[in-house]
Amino acid sequence: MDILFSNISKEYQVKKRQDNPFLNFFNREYESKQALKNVSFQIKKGEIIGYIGPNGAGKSTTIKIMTGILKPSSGKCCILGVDPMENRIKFVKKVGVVFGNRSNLLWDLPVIDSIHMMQKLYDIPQETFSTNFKELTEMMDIKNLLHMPVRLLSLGQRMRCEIIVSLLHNPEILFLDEPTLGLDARSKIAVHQFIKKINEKRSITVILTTHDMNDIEALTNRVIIIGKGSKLFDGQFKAIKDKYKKIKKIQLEINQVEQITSITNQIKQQFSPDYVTVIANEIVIEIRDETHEFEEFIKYISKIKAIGNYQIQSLNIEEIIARYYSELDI
Amino acid sequence: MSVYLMLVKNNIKAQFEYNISTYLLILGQFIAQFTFILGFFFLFKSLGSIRGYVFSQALLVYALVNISYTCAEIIGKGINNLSELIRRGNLDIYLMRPQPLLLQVMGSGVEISRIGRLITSISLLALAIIRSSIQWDSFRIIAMFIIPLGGIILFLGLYILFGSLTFFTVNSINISILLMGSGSDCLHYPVDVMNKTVKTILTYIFPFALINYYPFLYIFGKSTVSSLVFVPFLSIGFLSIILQFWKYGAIHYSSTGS
Amino acid sequence: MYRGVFIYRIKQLWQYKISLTSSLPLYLIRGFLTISILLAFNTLSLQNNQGKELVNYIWIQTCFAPFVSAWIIDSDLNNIIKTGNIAYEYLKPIDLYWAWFIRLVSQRLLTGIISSIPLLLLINFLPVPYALKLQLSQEKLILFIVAISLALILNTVLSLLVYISVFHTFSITGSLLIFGSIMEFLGGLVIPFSLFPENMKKVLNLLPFKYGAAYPFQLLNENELSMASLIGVISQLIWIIIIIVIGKIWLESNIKHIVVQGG
Ligand SMILES: Nc1ncnc2c1ncn2[C@@H]1O[C@H](COP(=O)(O)OP(=O)(O)OP(=O)(O)O)[C@@H](O)[C@H]1O
Ligand SMILES: [Mg+2]
Repeated sequence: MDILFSNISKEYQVKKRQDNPFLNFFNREYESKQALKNVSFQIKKGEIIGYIGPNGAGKSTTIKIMTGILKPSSGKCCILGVDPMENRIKFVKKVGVVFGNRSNLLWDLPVIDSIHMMQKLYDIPQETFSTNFKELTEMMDIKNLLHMPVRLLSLGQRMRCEIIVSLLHNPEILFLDEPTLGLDARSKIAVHQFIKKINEKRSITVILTTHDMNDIEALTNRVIIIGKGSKLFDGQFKAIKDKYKKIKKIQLEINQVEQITSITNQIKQQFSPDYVTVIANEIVIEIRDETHEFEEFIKYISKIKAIGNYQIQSLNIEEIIARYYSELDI
Repeated sequence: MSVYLMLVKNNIKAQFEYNISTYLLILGQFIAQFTFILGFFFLFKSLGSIRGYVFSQALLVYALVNISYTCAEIIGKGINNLSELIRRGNLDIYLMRPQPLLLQVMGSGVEISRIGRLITSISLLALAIIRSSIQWDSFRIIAMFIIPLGGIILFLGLYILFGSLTFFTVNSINISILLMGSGSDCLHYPVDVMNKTVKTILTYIFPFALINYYPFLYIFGKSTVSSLVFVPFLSIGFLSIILQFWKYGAIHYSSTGS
Repeated sequence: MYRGVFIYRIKQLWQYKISLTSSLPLYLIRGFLTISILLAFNTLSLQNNQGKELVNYIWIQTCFAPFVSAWIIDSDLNNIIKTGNIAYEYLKPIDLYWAWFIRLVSQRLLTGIISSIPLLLLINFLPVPYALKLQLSQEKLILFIVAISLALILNTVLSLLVYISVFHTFSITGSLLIFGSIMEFLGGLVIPFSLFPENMKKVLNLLPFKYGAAYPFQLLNENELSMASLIGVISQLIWIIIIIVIGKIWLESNIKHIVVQGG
């Protein structure tokens, strides 16, 4: 087991704010804010895990605990056989971290300087360094960026460099906290492919938090969902998708707009759709493809003249997860 | 150590990326320091001597303390960035690197512009030595090196102490405000010219008497105990207590995360 | 329009009220330490007037530090100038110079009112050598209020010159360090003005810096108000006008340059 997380809780102490500046200054009263409640999971070597949940769920808190930046209030965290808080310097040599919203690079200097700095900081032997450096820069295709000052890089270019820098010392686990934050579609794909490759090649364990379900779809089988600090799901991402596979979304375009309310009402009476909305001359209906009701519905709409055009879709991945979050009430 | 030097090198390189402003800062520091020294001269010129010290003696104390202060600022100023590092979350990145935290924080903000000030303080020392009527012996010569060393340790200790407070509250007192102008000025005078409360504080709490008072007792011939010149080494004790506090602060940070 | 700038700026600064009020004790400590150094000089004792005057001078200087000090930075304004966001500023239908003036004045005013002026209430009651002891008459007080207000304006327009220089230097700290140290020294903030050699005082009377700092402080120490004290106010006014004119011309020329060069 690479990561053993058992019954971890974390409470933040937040200073109670007072309006009066003087009171606030001497104020020692604290409120505690539960960010994680009894979270447990295990992760095997070489897995890629998607760690997801809505804003404020506790994802970054979990990453910080796993990387030894934060101390859990209770519970036991064991990464690569050791407690990450125990011997920081020895521990961090075995893991790599990328925080999507902050930078590990030297802002004003060319990328190559940051890379050499990492070699020194992590005390990477020259041989390992040069093979790694060559391999990674080729895989990520950043050779032409190496001599640009970091502050001039675009977000996507910078993120590629951040990821490379976090892998130079051959970590066994890679933590990625929202690595695709703000990237365009192409950069995202480049990052996906890279992570996949590096995972296969080195069988490095990857923990990834994100709000972009395409990341999850492209990279992981297993996801852990956390909401309001509790673990709510741990399993195959496919299982969640399957759960909503049966829901079909049908978009009807109505030619005669004046009939739109009557058609809507008829549909509501004859069938039992999960969900109906009307926008301008369109009706959007959701219906489960389980009984023969769905087939009858299709037959029904193909008969009505007023319907000019219709489209049947399954829910897309973002919709599925939004649905699932609300179902879990988080 | 080599890691620290590399961090410093990168830091300095980055500062020279914005060339004009760095050169301006060096010039500015030179001028700022120069006006302070000019002020010191005028003070003595119009007010005569200060309790038990003639001008050339006070000048020597001033110059040695000033060298320590400036060197400590050059290497320790980065600690002032700590609250900024915490606010932006960059401290987490430092925590993920296999090097001592303090070293990285210090290496992140080396103030190269203070070189401008170092130049003035060293020339001041030269001037003070020329004007003084000290009977130089080997102890007194060694003292010229031990005092700045002890001084750097003490000032760094102060930086680290106030830096550690940032771990507890991000809005803690910014040491540069405290040390600005007269705050640091009073450390540039021997403690025995000060009023009693200040003297007690500077002897027992922030032991600057170790560098601006005791060794000078021997140097100015007020005492014959030559071992007094080694007193500045006691500042190591002060620093090691403060380093413990820093460690405690870092642990506190990892349990609050803010 | 300008009132909007003022109110917005005050609101913005009000968020930092805690750190502003927490510098009250720092100002107190600084004043106290400066005085204890001065009193250590052999020739100074409280028997002679010079000692008392210096103590008063230091306290007034400390209490009004945010009005007179060169080291008050508006980092937002610095960023606006440095990053070229000036274009947005320029689109606002107000005169840039005065808008910036209001920003800076309101910052100094508010900082002074909450972080140092309240000390005035306290320092009258300190133990003897350290207490502020003034002989006030109504006229003196009125003249002081006028003079310190004009000093606030004079220092603000002077510091506007520093901000305008950022167009050329790209760094407020660089410009400020050079200009600010000179300004503080010549204005009598590094050492009290009366300690300068006589010849130098004569030269300094001809420069604007004294009128932004030492002049109002010295007013309170004078026994009798004389013609000379009134001339000070006139000098303040003249300098304010001269510096505003310089500042406006300089800013215009920079802006023209930006508009032409797209810079
Ligand atoms: N240092 C802190 N002090 C107090 N509360 C905190 C601190 N850091 C986080 N929190 C709170 O803990 C909860 C979890 O925060 P966390 O950053 O882990 O969320 P997240 O899942 O990463 O969210 P997001 O997707 O928005 O990044 C939030 O409610 C947040 O307000
Ligand atoms: Mg997060």
